[in-house]
Amino acid sequence: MNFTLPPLDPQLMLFINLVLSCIVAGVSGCRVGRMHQVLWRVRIQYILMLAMALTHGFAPIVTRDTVGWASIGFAAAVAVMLVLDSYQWPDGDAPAAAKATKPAEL
Amino acid sequence: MNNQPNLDPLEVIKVVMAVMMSQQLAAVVGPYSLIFIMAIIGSATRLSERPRTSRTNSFVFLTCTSAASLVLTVPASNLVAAYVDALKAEWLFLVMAVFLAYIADRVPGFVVTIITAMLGKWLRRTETKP
Repeated sequence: MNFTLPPLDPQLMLFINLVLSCIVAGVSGCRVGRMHQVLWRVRIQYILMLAMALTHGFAPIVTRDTVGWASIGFAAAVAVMLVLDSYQWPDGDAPAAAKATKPAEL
Repeated sequence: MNNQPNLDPLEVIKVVMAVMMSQQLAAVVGPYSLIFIMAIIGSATRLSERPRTSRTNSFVFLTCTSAASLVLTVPASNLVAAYVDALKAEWLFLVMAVFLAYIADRVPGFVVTIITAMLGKWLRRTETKP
């Protein structure tokens, strides 16, 4: 059995990859702007996500890599995850579990 | 002869992407794109420390600080490398990009701090001389 995905123009694959990566970078950038008083480990997640989404979107320029179906699929998965995850950020606020907690008052 | 441009959107996208992602362009802007990515890390870190802001303001902040860092990284690295013989400017590019983007909105205060420290050091040195 020989199954292959349909061939697509490389430039179109680059375009799809760029659009998906920009969605990921955009969502991450918006959330980074509302991270005052949020735990550092949560900040690092989104800062790295923002930077790596841009690297992935512009991979032919930054790292001179090509883009394949697997890359597009993974970028789509991350974009869908971030968009569907928005219920945890009501009105753009970070979830309570991500906020830095103060020590209990005695 | 048919000189009509092809207005099919897919063809336009292909042409734009072929130009945008070409190896010739990558050879020219490749190092700067890496500096830009590092600048994004620095500016996003700073943005996460600032009070809550709107999406538009976040985008403007990221763009402005990254652009400022992109412009200043190479001259600043060359300046530092000129004073420290053990360092090469190329080694400093990525670190300098993160640093400059991180302090981009506090440059006046940062400059004042450095000048104050240098003046204090100079004053202490002159005071100890007989």
